[in-house]
Amino acid sequence: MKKKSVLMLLAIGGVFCGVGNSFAQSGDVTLNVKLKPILNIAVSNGQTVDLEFATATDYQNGVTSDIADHLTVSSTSGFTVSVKSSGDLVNGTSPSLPIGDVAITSQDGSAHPIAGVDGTSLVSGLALTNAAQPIFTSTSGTALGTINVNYKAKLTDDDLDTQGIIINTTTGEQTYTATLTYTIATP
Amino acid sequence: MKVFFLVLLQLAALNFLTAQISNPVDVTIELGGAGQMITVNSTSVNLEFQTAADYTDGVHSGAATNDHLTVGSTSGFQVVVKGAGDLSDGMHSIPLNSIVITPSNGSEVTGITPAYLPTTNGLTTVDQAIITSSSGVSSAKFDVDYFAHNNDAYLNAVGSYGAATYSTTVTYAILPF
Repeated sequence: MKKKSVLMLLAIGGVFCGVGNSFAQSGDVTLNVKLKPILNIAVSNGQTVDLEFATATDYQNGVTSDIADHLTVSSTSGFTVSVKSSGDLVNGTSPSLPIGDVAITSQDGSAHPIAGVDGTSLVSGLALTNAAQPIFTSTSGTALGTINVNYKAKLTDDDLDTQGIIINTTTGEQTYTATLTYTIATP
Repeated sequence: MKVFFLVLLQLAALNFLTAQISNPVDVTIELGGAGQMITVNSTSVNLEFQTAADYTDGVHSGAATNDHLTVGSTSGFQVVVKGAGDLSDGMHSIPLNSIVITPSNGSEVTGITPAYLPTTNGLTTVDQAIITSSSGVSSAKFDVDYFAHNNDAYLNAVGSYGAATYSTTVTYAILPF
């Protein structure tokens, strides 16, 4: 009787020890989130901006173009967007117009509003130059965030009177062109 | 005097015999615990953010974690999940609740009709039931999608370090239903 009892205990114990060793009731997995840095900028609107002077009022007050979400930017940290011109506005034959006649105003765009932007990091009526100038600064990152840009061209008396190149054309219009380059950089 | 002594010996012998026989009755058998098993079929899961769209849309583990869990149970069961804590790169952290886990049928789910409960509000350090079944199954495989979605937290988690890997441990357990 005593031997049988002991044998039964060993048998039962063996079965459940075996179950415990081969079947786990929990399991772990290491979850890794790998973040790679991004930093890029794209210009919308077909990458062409037209400012057309058609009336006397245009020449008097200047011409503006508001382009919502003109720039799309992505950065995994705070960033600065700058703009510079390739040079003055030229048409190949006439004397050029100074690029400083064109001014830029920047605003936070509609897509993925960019945190960390305040009024002091935007620009209003910033005259363009051939050197890069900041137009938008954010202390935090964004993914596909957008920036509104307003362009305003206003000709000076010097442009109209001294050079006389705008209104005295025989073809009826002249197109002056410059290439603007936007750059995004982290501090 | 001799007779009395013999009686005492017999009583002692009876007590001894009773003790030997009654011991096996005290064995406790926990069928619920021994009849369940769960296996995580990956040692690690990687969610990689490489493009701007990854940061706006989030990143899924997708097919990489198909048949992520293998489960067996002799009766109704539930699978619970929890995280060890916020994801960390050793110096900085991103919130654990930015990870959403969504279970679904894997390649082998026969004879049971499990209910799937995604961790809609994200992982926490407390067990959340993600699969429940009122009946047992000898072996079932479940897909588990991991989704990292909190772009605001992630965008600024890279900083000036170039690239960063944030990690935590996710623990699955099987319990009676």
